Amino acid sequence: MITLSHYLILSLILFSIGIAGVLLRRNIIIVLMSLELMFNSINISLAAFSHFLQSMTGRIFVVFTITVAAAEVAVGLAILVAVYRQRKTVYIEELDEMKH
Amino acid sequence: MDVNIKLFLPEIFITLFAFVIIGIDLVMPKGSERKHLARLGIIGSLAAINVLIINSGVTGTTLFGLFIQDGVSIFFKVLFLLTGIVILYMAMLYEEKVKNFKGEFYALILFAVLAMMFMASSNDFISLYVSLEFLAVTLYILACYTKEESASVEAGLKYLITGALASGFLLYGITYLYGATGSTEFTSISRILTGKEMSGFLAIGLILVVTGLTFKIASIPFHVWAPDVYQGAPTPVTALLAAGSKAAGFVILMRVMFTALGSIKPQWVLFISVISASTLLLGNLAAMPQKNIKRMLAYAGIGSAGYLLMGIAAGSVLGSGSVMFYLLAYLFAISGTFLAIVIFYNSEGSDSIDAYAGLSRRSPLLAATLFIGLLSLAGVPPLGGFIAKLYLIAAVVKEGLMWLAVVGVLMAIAAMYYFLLVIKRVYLLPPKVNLPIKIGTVDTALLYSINIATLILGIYPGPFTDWVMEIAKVLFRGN
Repeated sequence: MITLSHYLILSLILFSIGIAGVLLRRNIIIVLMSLELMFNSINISLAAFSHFLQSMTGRIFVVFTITVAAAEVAVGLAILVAVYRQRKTVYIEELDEMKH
Repeated sequence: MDVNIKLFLPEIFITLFAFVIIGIDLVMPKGSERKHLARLGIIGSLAAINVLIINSGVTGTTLFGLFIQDGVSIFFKVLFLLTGIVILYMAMLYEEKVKNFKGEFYALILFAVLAMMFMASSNDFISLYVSLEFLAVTLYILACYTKEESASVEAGLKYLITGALASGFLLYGITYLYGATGSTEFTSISRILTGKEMSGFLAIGLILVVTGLTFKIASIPFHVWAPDVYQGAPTPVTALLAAGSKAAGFVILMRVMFTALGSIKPQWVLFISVISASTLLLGNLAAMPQKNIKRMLAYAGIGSAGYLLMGIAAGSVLGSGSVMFYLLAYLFAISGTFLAIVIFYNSEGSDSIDAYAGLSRRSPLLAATLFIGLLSLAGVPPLGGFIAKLYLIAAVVKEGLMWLAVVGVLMAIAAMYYFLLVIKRVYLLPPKVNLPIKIGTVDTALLYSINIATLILGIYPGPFTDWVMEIAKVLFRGN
């Protein structure tokens, strides 16, 4: 029997992997992928809550989340292309122009 | 369902004007001047303010409870539209500085204002999240708009990564609040939570939602983007981030904390107070050694977020009224300061604080604007910022948070130090070159009116404070 907690634990594990990816990886493309993983883990828990609470709102919310996350990452990739054209790099630690 | 179109008529206006600007921009010859598009945007914003004031009696919810129009949302919409007008004007001055300037820059500013207006009207976690992301995506594009400058694209990318991480936290928190209450609408969440014990889901949701929202207001723990983005973004966009985006963050924070979670207030007061105190300390202390004026204002903005969070921690009508008054005073102080920075940059090509040496001898008006704007931000009587800080400190003292009030007062003194460093350069040091800085007629009129507004808010605040306190009562109607 799969209960609500199974879904929530799965979602928490995926969310943690996502955060670890954003904070630890150097390659910005992988950072963007990790962000996408975070949003999808949230979708799992939203859908699970929606199912176990017998409420439609969560499922509607998932549709919005998917759309918005796609828009966000699309803009992210576009900005990354602009960065790459200037610096010829996609590594996050090389973007430190304004520290000084 | 009947839709009362009068409730969101100003939003329709702004949407139309933004699309018209994009449309005209398409048919304009490449490389021609596009300042008329900004003027069109300003006319649109003025028309929207007019519509808002005419229909200010029309309040209520619509679109299945996703959208609410009440005193608070009308106050903030007027605030955002005024910000938009000043920013459009600044962008007009900035136009020559950008290679291949396109009219969509003005349209994007209008879209950002539109997103903030929707945030002020959100009454449900769904509309809150969607409008918040609408604003975020618009600002990501605006922050890296000058894509020939490597600082600008770097700022845009950093803003995007931290922003997406923060909205992940926010959304995860919303999920748990939804799981705990079974609803995403603020008033029904408040109804369900009344008289309930704190549960695990609720605690996780609360902490994650507040953490996610700290990104928009630039406070701890999601403040790291602010210095780099403020410094790297085009100056009009920096002003939009400082005045508009912060106010938009606070209006949704007030709606979430007071309207939705107001009934469990004792559980979150300490959490907000700790964030507020640490933000105050970090922002004001880190501003001191800065060499770039935009970077310094970023840290000062983090400090301001700390002050504004004091009003949230107070969680009373007095607290939220003073948040609104602070944002009003902050808007005038910030827009005057940034207008002076844009004019100075256009003439000198530098944002470093050292370049401001001897400004009073080269342009007394710019020097006076910086004097009034920065001292209002620091909170010196008799300027608007002083009254605002006084009210916020009074609000936390009234709720018994004495230690937070002490931190606030101490950090006001710290703020005085770094703002006076700039003013010392402006007034006391000799200039490197003695050429006067040219200021246009409209610029002069705008600078004068912004400075007078800051002075009026400080000398005669009575009607304004009464007004915001009256508006703030709306937020607590649910409890």
